[in-house]
Amino acid sequence: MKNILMCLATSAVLITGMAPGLQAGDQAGDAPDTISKLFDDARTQSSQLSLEWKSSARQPGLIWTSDAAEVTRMKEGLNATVKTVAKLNEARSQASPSQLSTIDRIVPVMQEISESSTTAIDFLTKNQTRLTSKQYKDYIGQSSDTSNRLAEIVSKLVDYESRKVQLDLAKRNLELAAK
Amino acid sequence: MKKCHATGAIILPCLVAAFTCLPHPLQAADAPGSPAVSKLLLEAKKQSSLIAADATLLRSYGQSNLDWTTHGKQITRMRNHINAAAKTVTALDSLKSHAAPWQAVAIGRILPYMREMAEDTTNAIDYINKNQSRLSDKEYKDYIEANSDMSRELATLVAQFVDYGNSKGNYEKLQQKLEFPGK
Repeated sequence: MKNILMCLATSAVLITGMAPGLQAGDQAGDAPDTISKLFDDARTQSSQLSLEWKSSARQPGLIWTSDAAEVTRMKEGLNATVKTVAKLNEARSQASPSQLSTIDRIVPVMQEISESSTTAIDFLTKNQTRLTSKQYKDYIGQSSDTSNRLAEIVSKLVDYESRKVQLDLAKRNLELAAK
Repeated sequence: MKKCHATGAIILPCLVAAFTCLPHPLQAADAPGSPAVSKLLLEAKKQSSLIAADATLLRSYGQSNLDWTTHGKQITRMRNHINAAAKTVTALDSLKSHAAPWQAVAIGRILPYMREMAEDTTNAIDYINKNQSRLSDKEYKDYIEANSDMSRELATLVAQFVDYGNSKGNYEKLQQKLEFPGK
């Protein structure tokens, strides 16, 4: 039994160690969980959207005017992003100062992700038949790159919030120890 | 003491190289916009990396229990990095009205992080200078560690915003090129 517990504990430590980046709210002991969850959603959704653009970039034959499953999925991803932005805005009154500052920084980036993706989908829907294969590839490639960078920024902003909480706590402890 | 300086001389270039390579490679001159602003954005990215490297170096001093007073040259170098970054912040701020839209957005986004980074690192250096008897305390080590982590996050954010701005500039340029009349 002891061995099994040890094994489970080791696995838990390993899994935690392998998780990419910081999890939102790890250090935010007093932070409302719902907001930390929204930060995680923002990170996941923007990353998902970026992956979908990347996948589109690999399919130059995708028809944007039809109901291709990829286009539908991307539009659903976009809607989810818009909903998360709305929820983050609604959650402002419950947020800690640090979370509020992160919401202020994440929301414009998320809005940019959805605006940029909407513009790209509209552009492709209207112009796909006029684009040469190379123009199409260049456009999708550049759009995918932009989307990927925005997703990375969202992820880093979520990490930043956790680090900020950590640094503020360390500063407080330092001040207390000096007294 | 010589050994300490030699160690610092090896660690610092490695840290700078590591931080400079953090996110994507930068092609700031590729996107349309003011070349002067693009150059400054590139500077901002490099300087943030240097400050993050300095914060990591401070952390390594804490872990190695080296005598802080033997590192006067290093403190001077750190302060020089912070001063250079402050000059870049001022220059970017003053050129904002001449910048392309993507550049203005990038400036607006990176300046708060650069200021925060310079302030945090200055505070850490000042604390060390004033509290040398406490450098082995757990609270101090935790603080320096958190400061170093934070600097790394900030440097990455600055780099990502600059890279993203550049990518967006290219994307808009391409879209304009592909706009078809009478669609």
